[in-house]
Amino acid sequence: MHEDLISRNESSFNYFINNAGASPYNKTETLEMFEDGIMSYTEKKTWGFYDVLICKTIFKNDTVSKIALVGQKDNTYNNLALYVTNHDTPLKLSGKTSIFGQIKVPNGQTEQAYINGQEGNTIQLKGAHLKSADKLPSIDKNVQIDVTKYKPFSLDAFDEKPVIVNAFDSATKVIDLADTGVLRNLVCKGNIVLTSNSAIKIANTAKLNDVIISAPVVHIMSGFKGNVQVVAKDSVVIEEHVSLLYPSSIYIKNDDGPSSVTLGDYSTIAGGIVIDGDTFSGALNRTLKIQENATVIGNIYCYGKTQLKGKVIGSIYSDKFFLKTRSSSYENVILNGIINRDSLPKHFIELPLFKNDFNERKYAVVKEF
Amino acid sequence: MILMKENMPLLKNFKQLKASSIIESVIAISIISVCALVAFTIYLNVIRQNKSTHYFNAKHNIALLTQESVKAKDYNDNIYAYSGYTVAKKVTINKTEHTVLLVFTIDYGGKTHVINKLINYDEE
Repeated sequence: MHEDLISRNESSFNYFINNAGASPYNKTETLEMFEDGIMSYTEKKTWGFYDVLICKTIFKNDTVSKIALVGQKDNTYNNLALYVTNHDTPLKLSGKTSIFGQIKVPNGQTEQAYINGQEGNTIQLKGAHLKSADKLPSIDKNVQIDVTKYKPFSLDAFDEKPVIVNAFDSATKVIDLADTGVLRNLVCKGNIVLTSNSAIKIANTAKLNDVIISAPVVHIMSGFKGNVQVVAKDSVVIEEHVSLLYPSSIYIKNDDGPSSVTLGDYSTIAGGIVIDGDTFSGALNRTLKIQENATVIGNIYCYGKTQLKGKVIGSIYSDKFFLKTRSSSYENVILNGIINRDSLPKHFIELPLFKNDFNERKYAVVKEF
Repeated sequence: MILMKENMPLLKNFKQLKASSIIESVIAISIISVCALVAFTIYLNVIRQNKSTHYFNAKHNIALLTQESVKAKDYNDNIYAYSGYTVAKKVTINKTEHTVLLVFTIDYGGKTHVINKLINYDEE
């Protein structure tokens, strides 16, 4: 019966999600759950920062499947609100800065700074202060989008107002946006990679859900609302009033030249932002700017310098902080920034960044498709 | 007499009606046979299940018990008595695989059915 098959597939999926750490990527494995001849077929794929687990159970002519985007849960390593690398420069807080949660900062201390002749500061700190090391903890994640094995489609192959939907148990659809200019009126959902060798500019009339955008430069225009994972090389600019819904992320890995991410005023991203590289010299060219009233829910990891004027609900790991005003620049200063680890919901599935020594990756469902 | 006269053409036509040929009869019988076979197969499938309403009630309750076990992290054996049937829950925890096997045995009128469910093991 179909109902029994759904129940069986659910059991198989529960087994798979708890033991998927050892499963190889992109390989279908067979699973006989209760030794009665009914087989389930499982497959693990990467999808940006996250993994996609596919579980299908087949009996006679009936097939039931469950596909879910999964992330890492219970990351005991990543329980800090703030980490700033110790470069012998103390972290200075200014204005109405609040930090709730355990922090690791140079020498385990913070100082106050008075910027632009302010009369007083209202600093709120809650949580233990620990000493940070002279190196940012390295992350165990390298997001790579390999589109070479798929045949790319051009947008010209679709209608004027294309609606493209692709399931995660099908082959990935790659859409080459070369020479598209500004991407408007496109509806994309699912297992789709939008790629370009130059820059991609996305207007607020585009509806993107669960897709990956891969290009050297990505620019998301004001008013856009969607669910995307951006993998860029040089820069990502998020204009004002953009909502990147959970689970969305921005990833840049660059050692060759300057790279930057800017989150504009009143914009929100739920998921995380990662700017990474292999060399310390490259870190001097990597910048992250969280503008006023912008919010990041999740994790920020910046192997470079960060200017925080907005709000982070979750954690932020940054090599350095900086503040640039009209008159001058300051090193390791946070002005009017808010970091609140305590407000992050207990069951929030964070970006799987750090290696967990206690057990293999413990997966939890981020989203079911 | 008038009535008879009026009915005469009808009677005449009736006499001229031809009987079905043997081929037509065979085709008709074949179609009826196929329909009967299909109906009988469906009927047999329904009969073969031979499960009482207790079984379906129990299945519904097992779904609820599974949800409760997940929610309350209840990994203990138990026996649940319902009107007309009982459900025994046997739990096997596999800490290595982070899973819990729930084996539900439905007992009604001397018949037993086993339903297996595998859920996540939450250590917290």
